[in-house]
Amino acid sequence: MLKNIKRHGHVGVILEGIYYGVNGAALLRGVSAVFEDGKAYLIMGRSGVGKTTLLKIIAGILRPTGGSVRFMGRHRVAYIPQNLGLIKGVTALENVLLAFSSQCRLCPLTNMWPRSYVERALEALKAVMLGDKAWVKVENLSGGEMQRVAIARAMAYGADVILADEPVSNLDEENAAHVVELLTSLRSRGLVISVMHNREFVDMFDEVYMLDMGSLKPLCRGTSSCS
Amino acid sequence: MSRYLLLLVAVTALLIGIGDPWTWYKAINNLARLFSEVGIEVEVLDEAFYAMVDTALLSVFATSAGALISMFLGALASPMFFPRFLAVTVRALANFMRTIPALIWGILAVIMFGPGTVAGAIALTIYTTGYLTKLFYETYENVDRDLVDSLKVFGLRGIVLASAVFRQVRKQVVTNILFIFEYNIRTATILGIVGAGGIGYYIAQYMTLLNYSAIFTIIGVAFIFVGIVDVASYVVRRFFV
Repeated sequence: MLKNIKRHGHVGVILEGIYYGVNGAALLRGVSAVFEDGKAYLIMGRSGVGKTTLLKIIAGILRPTGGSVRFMGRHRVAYIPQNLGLIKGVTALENVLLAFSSQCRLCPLTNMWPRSYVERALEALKAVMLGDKAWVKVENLSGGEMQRVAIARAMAYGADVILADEPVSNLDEENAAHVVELLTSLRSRGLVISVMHNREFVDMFDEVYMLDMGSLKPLCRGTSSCS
Repeated sequence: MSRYLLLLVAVTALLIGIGDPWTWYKAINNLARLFSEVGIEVEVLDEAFYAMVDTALLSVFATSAGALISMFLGALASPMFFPRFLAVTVRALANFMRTIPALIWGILAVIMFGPGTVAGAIALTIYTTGYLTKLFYETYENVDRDLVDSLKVFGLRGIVLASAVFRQVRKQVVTNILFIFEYNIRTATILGIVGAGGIGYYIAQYMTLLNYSAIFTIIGVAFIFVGIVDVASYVVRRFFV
């Protein structure tokens, strides 16, 4: 593993022998991988093989029973769960503003945000083409729009490691392609790791891994060889 | 199932003597006599109205204060926001507050503060806090875990995280508050029987004087008032929540 790390120029995240067990059964058995900055990664696999678990371990939500996750340099991780983790009953703007919670601790409590944060949140929404829907409650948005709000929140947070769990599972083909394009474009900010169970969009990612029997195997590298 | 229930009813009825036909004969006779003798006592109406307003104020205070405290305690009692040992401790405290009936809290409050509305307000606030804390932490428990996890990644913790999640469940919270308000109005009407203010105090007083017409009038006022609150609560739930 160390040899591999030295070979890579801009290493972002290193997984070293990740083990994770559920009810005594090993779900992940020594998963190792190196994720570089500036790339978009796709992790594929059947339902229940541990894709979400692996993503949650990278996000720091779950603690692995063995092994470690190492981030090289400063990093900001954003995790977009399958159901997006948006708060229903509030606007798209308010959801994006939550990205600044670590900078303004009392703001979520009072729901009063400094103008600079509001402007930055609006910019993020404009970047995902939702500037005109900033004041719409998220439950009134379409599936694709909600997904874009979640991406805007990650962008506003300044995330350089973006983790997306099944980002297109509930979208039609056109919206799904748009969301994957937007998501993979975030590689310019750091690195993107997405998990999906279908092969439809493999050609939009730089590297594709397959999670099977508890271990991660490279499937293809480079957009041309993945298609 | 129904056979066992029937058996239980029969056995317990025998033990407490509820099945005695003579008891029922006397009861119906007494009720008929009561209805033939009692009427509306107009002089009491004024007193009953002000006592009911007092009862309503007491209920509004207890519900609002209890809800405010419970919003905080409900978050503390949720392990997804705070350490488990703290959550367990707060839950135990809420259970204790809820297990003791409001009437017993009323007796304790009367001993502490003396008879009157203040004692009733304190008693009902304690009970409301216990009850709403449970309802609120159960509401938080039903929130999607992924939502909480994704917000934690953004650095939200503790009460700040709870306040963000609160916005998703606020409709449920309002429903819970309205439910406990209806309950409190009913409970506040009897709290006065132990001296804790409100309309119950007058019921107790007229009971000792055996003035059934006055009691009948006061209960009538309370019945109308509780009915209005129930309808208002339904309208708020139906159209605004």
